[in-house]
Formats: sequence, C-alpha cells, structure tokens
Amino acid sequence: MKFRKFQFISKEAENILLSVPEKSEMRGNLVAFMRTHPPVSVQPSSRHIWSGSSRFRFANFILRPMPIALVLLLLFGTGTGISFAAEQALPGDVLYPVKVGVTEEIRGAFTFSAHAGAQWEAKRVERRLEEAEELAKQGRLTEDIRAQIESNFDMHAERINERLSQIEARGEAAIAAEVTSDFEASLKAHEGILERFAEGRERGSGDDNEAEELLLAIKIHRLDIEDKRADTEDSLVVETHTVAQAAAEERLREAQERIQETQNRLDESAGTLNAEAKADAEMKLTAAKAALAEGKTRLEAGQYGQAFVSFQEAHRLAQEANVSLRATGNLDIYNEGNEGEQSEGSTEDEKQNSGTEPQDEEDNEDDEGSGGGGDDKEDLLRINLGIQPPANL
Amino acid sequence: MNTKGYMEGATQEFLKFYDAYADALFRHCYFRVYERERAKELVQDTFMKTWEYLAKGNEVKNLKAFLYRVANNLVIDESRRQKPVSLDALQDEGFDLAVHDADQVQAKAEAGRISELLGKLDEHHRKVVVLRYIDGFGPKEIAHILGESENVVSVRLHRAIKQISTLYEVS
Repeated sequence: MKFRKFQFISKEAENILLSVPEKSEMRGNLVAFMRTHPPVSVQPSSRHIWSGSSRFRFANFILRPMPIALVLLLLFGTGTGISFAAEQALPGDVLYPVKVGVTEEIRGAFTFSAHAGAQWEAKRVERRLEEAEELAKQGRLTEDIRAQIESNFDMHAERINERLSQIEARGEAAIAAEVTSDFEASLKAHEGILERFAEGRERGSGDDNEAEELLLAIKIHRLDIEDKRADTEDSLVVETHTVAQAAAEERLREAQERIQETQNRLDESAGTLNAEAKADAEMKLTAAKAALAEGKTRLEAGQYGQAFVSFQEAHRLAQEANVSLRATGNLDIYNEGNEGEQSEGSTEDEKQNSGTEPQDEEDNEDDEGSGGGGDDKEDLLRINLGIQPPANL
Repeated sequence: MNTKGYMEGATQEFLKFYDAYADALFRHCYFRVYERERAKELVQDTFMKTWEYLAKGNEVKNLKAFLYRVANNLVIDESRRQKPVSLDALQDEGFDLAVHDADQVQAKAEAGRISELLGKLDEHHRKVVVLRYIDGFGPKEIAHILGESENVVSVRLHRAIKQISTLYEVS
C-alpha cells in the first residue's frame, strides 16, 4: 500500500534546513573538535581513506606529537563534554582557561587568512564583553575578573592590530576598512550596554564601578579603532582606483543584509522592547538606510571609494543596533521589571533556551542575590557527566 | 606525504561528509525530536562521535548509514535520560540569531503539517517513516541503520503507513 501524500510531505520537509551561519558555525566547532581528537594512529602510506565507496578508516600506527594543552584536554575529557562545557564558562569558572586558552586558540589556528584571523579576534573581544555583561547581570563582575577581562581584551586587540598591519601591507585597504568598521560597531554597541549597567542598576556590591572601569577601557580601544577606520577610509576615497566596483557592491549587499536582519529582529521583538530601546534601534536603522541610499548614488556615479565608505557606515549603524537588540533579549537590560524572570516577556527563542539549558534556572537564582560561583561549577560538571557515548557504537 | 598532511587530508575528507550530510541529518533529527535547537545539537554530536570513532582506528563501510545509526543511538540515549543535555554554548554566535530566528519560524510553519501527522505515531513507527520518506532510505538500509531485520522494518513501515493514512482521513 502506498500513501501518496508522502510525496508531498517529503517535498515539504526539504525546507527544513540549517541556515548558512548555523551550518558554518557547527562546521567550525567540528573542526576544533577534530583538532583536539586527532587520529591516534596514522600512517602516511594509507592516505586513501576515501576511495570512491563510502569506506572510511584511519589505519596503522605512528604516534604523533601533540601540544601539551591538547594532551591535557584529552586526558581531562575523553568525550565531548569538557570542550562543550568550557564554551559556557565565565571568568572565575574552573573551565574558563580552557575556553580562552585552548578552545578559542584552536579555532583561531584554523583561520588561515589575516582577514579571517582579525575577524576571529574581534569575535573574541565580543565574547569577552558578553561575558562581562553576563557577569554584571549576575552581580559577579568583581575587580579581579574585570582586570582579567581587560587583559584578555588587550591581547585580542593587539592581535587584531597585527593582522591589520598584515592586511594593509598587502595593500588590501578595503578589507582593513571592513574589519575596523565591524569591530568599531560592536565596541560601540557594547559600550551602550555596559553604560546601562554603569548607570547604576542596583545589582549588588561594586558592580557599577567595575562596569564603568571596563567601559573606559573599551572607549579607549574604540577611539583607537575609529581613527584607524577613518584613516583607511580616507585613503580609499583619495586613491580613486583602490576600491573596485565589485568591492563596493559586495559591501552594499552586506549592508543591505545587515539592515534587513536588524529590521527583522526589531519587528520580532517589538512587543517586548521598551520605548527607549525601540527608538534607539529605529533611529540607527533610519540613519543606516540613509547612508545606504547615499552610497547607491555614489555607486551609480562611479565613485566606488566613497560608495564603499557610505556602505560601511550603513553596515556599522545596523550592526550597532543589531548587537544592542540582541543584548536586550539576552540580558533583559531594558525590561525593568524582568530581572531573573526570563520567561516573562521573553522571546520564543529564549523560552526554548531555558527549556533546554539546565543552567538557566541556576542563573536566575543567582540573580536574586547569592551571586556565588560555586553553582556554576557544579552545573558545568553536571553537563559534562551528562554527555555519554552512544550505545552500540 | 607526511603525518601532518595525512591528518589534513583526513580532516578535509570528513568535512566533505559534513558538508554533504549535515542538512539531511538535521532534517532527520528534527523529525525525531521536533525541536530545532535539540536537532542541531544532535547533528553536532553525531559528527563528533563519528569522527572520534574513526580516529580510534575503526573502519566504517558506509559512512552515511553509520551517521544515521549514531544519530539514532543518540536520540534513544536522550529519551532514556529524559533530561536534555545542553550544548547550547556551541551556538553562541549571536550575530546570526536574527537569521536563524526567522528560519525557525518558517521551518516550524512548514513542518507543522508533517509534524502533526508523524507526531501521532509512536517512536518505533515514526523512525521508520522518517528514515523512509524524509531521508529516502530503502528498507535494507533502514534495517542496517536500526540494527533490525529487513522483515521487521517492512512490517513496521507497513503498519505506520496504515496508521498515518487513517489519521489523515480522520483529520
């Protein structure tokens, strides 16, 4: 007996896909995992692991040297647990050094171009700031931790500068401009978020001071990067032929996408945002659209350098709004009556997270004021122990 | 070829499998657990476990079927444990959230009708239907993936279709 409707069903099911960013993020995680779990035994002669059929093997035995950090990681966690758990770690947690010193470094080792390297370091800065914000939210941003975050921040920023020098040395000013612009946008957005913490939300002892200290450090970096971006963009405008039409058009596409993405995020969260947050995001989006229109005019006039700069601005503004909106969702910084109760007025995405993430409940308890780090450690261990190898492997 | 080159080659070959099968496996997992985030975690875990297995020197004859087998084991493990394990930290790339939110909404709507029907089947019957009609495996491959005999799979498939046809007519 054949059920015809299944034809329709399987067709419909084809639309269930991973998004491109999801797929590439997972791929990155997989690569990092493969790096930490290399084949224990390989022989150069057996290079044909894949031979047309779907036969797959690593054969024979040559032990290969491995960095000490990786050996430790393998000894520490034979399964996938430690690296997963480490990803969630915050400064002060047992596994935090694994996150920053091992997992992220390995991922960094897989960025082959200076461009990708700089982007990854910028992403790491963002991760540090998100950690700081999460700690501030939980009332755990102490002086020591703030200093630790700042020193990591400095390290990443230094690496970004190194990469930028490499990019500029190769004459790729447009890429340098993109990297600096994106980085600047994310710093600005995080400044805004930390400002809100610094403005004296009552979240326990000394937090506001630390948020303010951190804010200052970010501002210094941001002003520095802003100068760099402006210089690079100036050079793009002055030297008329340095920006190809294709580069400007690519930046246009990116800016349009980012604006659209931000607009969607704004529309989706409109119900839960307060007026201030909404107005701020709308203002930035309007400015972004204006910059985009300006860029298009320049593009049509064949002024590719200037068009590129305008698209940069559009992208940056949208990005700033985007990061702020995201933080609003994650940290509840605008929703005054909402501390520690994510379920109220939260987006669907958050609800799902709190359903699947045992740590959320603990976090909420922390918000009520205990603020100790011990709970989190226990959580991390529990997550680790929870991951078991599949049966019948 | 030196050892490093070999490692690189193995990595690249495995990543080709990832690129080729990640979406299909995600779809499979989605229809097993009905939750996008959980399905993503299952896919991630499946590839990691499979790599781990290969890295220990084991040989796999049919990697595609093997991936589904590992995924199946993970789904079963999870339903035994009940409490879900969080691997959410892996998806901490916040900038992409808006895109994936939109996808999620869309995917949910699209999957709604299918889910409604499949969701009414019990686990045993659902997994053969998913493997047959969503993943496109033949009864022989399904038998291999589930570690059952071909006969058992055919019977289950037959019953599942019967059930779902009745449900469809009723609805």
